[in-house]
Amino acid sequence: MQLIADQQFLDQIQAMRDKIFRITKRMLVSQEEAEDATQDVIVKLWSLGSEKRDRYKSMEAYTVTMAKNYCLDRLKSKQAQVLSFDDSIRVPKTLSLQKEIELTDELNWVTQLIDQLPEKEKMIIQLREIEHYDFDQIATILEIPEGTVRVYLSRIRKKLRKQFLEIQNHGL
Amino acid sequence: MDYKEIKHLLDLYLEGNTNLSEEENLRLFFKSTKELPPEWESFRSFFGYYDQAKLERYPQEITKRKSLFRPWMAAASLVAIVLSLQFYSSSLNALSTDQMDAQIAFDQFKDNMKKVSSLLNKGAKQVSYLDYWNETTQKLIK
Repeated sequence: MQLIADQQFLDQIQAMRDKIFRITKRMLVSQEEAEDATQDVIVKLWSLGSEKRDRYKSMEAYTVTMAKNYCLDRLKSKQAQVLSFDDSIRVPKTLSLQKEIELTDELNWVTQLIDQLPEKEKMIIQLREIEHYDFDQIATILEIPEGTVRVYLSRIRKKLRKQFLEIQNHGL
Repeated sequence: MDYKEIKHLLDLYLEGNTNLSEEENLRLFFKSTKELPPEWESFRSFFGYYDQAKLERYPQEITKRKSLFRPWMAAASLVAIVLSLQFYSSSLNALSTDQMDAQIAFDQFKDNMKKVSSLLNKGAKQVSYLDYWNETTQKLIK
């Protein structure tokens, strides 16, 4: 019985792994960190044991929530590290000159615009536009009401479009 | 789908009021339509980016922590060893006059010491009889 449960878990995880990787990479940006994060999330899930895992209504939503929390923890501790070295450090939100030069086509503009979104907004874009989760799944994962998800999403879509048009009209 | 319908869907989209299948329709429209009103070009870029982003996969072979060792380093270290050996042996051949004098003095000293030590050994051979003497006296004492 245990073996069957384990095999089921492996199948489920196989299907989830790419998603976890994309989501953690969106949040952590670095490829290597996202790979580590994906591994860690899978190990954590595994260590829950099959009984506990089966208790969750949606294993997928639970897994993504776990990945999200993992990333937020990582980002928080990173930020804390930076601040302990120099409290005055403020990461500038404007694009660096080097990157401006590299921006040649419009897909790159989009990449840059999404990269500079705050974590929560990045996550919403990833979950809706790339992973195609519906609103109540996103609400569960982010632990906010469904209506709030819609409001956020609308705000982000408008903001991204506005920024994109600004680049198009005036350059960076 | 005609443009009016698309326009309506896009308005809903920006308000966060489209469902997943409506968004899928928009995605397909921007993917398949070449000529677009210029004000819609931005949507094409966004949907295009999202499509592409969904293709990203977890690397099949887990990229190992990048090891600092590279094959060219093996070659480089081999070259370094050969060069340093060559340098070492050539520096041995080319002795300065000071070093030559020192070498001669050292050789002479070594010869002398050899003579001394061979004589010492001769003496030691004689002394080794004493062991024999010890043995026999012990037998007598018993």
